[in-house]
Amino acid sequence: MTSLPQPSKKKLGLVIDLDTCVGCHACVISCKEWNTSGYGAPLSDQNPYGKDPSGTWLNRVHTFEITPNVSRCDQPDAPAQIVHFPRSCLHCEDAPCVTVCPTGASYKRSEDGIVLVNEDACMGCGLCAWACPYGARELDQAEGVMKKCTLCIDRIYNENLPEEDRIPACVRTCPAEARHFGDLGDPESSVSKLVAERDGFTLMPEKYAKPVNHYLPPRSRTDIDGPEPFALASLAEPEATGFLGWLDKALERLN
Amino acid sequence: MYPAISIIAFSTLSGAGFGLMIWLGLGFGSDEQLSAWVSLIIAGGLAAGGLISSIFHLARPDRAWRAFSQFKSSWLSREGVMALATFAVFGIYGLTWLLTENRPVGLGLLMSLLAFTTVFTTAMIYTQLRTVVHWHTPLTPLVFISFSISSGGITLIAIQTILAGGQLELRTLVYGLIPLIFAGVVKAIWWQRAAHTQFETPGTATGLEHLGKVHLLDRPSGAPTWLTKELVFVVARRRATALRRICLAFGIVAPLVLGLLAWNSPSLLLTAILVFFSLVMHLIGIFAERWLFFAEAEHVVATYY
Repeated sequence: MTSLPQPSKKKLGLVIDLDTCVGCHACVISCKEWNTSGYGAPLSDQNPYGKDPSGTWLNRVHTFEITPNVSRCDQPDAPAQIVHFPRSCLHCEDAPCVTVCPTGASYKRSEDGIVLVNEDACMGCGLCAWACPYGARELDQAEGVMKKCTLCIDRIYNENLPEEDRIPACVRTCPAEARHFGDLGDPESSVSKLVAERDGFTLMPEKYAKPVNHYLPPRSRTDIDGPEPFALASLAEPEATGFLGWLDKALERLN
Repeated sequence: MYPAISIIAFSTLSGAGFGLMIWLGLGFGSDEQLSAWVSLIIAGGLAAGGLISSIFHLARPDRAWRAFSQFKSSWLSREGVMALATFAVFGIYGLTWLLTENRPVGLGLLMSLLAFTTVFTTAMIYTQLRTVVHWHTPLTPLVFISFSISSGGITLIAIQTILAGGQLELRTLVYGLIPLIFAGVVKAIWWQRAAHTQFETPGTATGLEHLGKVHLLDRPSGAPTWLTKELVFVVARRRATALRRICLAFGIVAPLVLGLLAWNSPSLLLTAILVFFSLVMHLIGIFAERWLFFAEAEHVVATYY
């Protein structure tokens, strides 16, 4: 049934640190690599070496530029800030993608809150992708079924893997350690503490989906202590040495 | 949102078919056998044609039967179940009418109610989505239902007039004129609301608004994807005003003018032709309206792009 289960005590999810994400897309690639050969149908590509390549991805990274409203010393030309923004399924508590599903293919696990698609029952109507506010679902063009992040369910409970690998592929691979995996239903877990310490937030709470995944905000550019900005033009002037240096200093003394 | 022809045809045609069932079930239309045959075949044909068209939107149509299972939670499933129930009652009602030459009143009322509910559930598939603010309003079911009743009514007028050899009866105005004007007004209010809806911005969608003005620097992929084609469709928005005029001109004004001309027409043949064309115009207008319903709708995911 695509009715939502009672909220589980355990809420597995991700915490993504927008302050440390460098936008390398390693999580995107690692996710595709693991999931194309893991749970369910492969993540197909259409026209991969052609003019308009496209394909199914469960995780995508957007890059935003933020122009500060109030800049350092109220200067209007303060430098802009770049924020890399990974976007994948947030495993919402009130997942709207689950309740709209007419076939019962979409469901939320009662034991850990992971949202999954039973690909054998999916008829590819695409309504769940319309219902998701976060663009987390993509209809695979080869298989004709809906694909989404499984939180690497075939890794996290997989006792055939070494223990350090029993986390989602994106988390395992992130070179900046910007991605964290854990139980957000447990206030004592490392991810919950991270959210509490760093003022973690959820996306678009006004859509009432109650996402489990959290984001950690990037520091404001104006909060970062750095050297005072200086005019770049001074760097362009070569420092005179030798006879010209002596002449330069002599002239400066006369000045 | 991407305006898929299969879905536009689905809601337009099945809307007209179920609309005709609503009128027939309430006892409107001639009781004669020929009229019964023609009205029932057209009502069933339009509704079934629309539903079959919707199957072409599925990537795995072989699994469409599964859609009847989740009526407890899913509006799309409820729509399927209601359509099936309507067809069952429609079949019994039609057979009874044709075999006994009597229209069972109670069964007719039940058929009207079921057809009405089916159109409502169709509209709720879109209305329920918080992700598309244009659609997320009680006005959306009202638009679907009023266009369903108007197109069903005009279909019935066309059938009656043509079968009567061009005799346009005054009482047919009840199921032509009034629903038509009502539908036009409801849609105008819908557009008025749509013009004043508040959209998410990249700042609110990313939760980074407090840092400044947020705008996209780099998309996640160089080429369009299924997601951007489906949810970030923007081709027609510049032409929206022109298309709205076409929709109103064809859908509402033309049927009214043609209807009035038919009323004052000197020959019966001309009356029949004019009434037929007012139906064609009305259906073209609803096609345009439904096309815009999708093409103009902005999905919240578009703010990330």
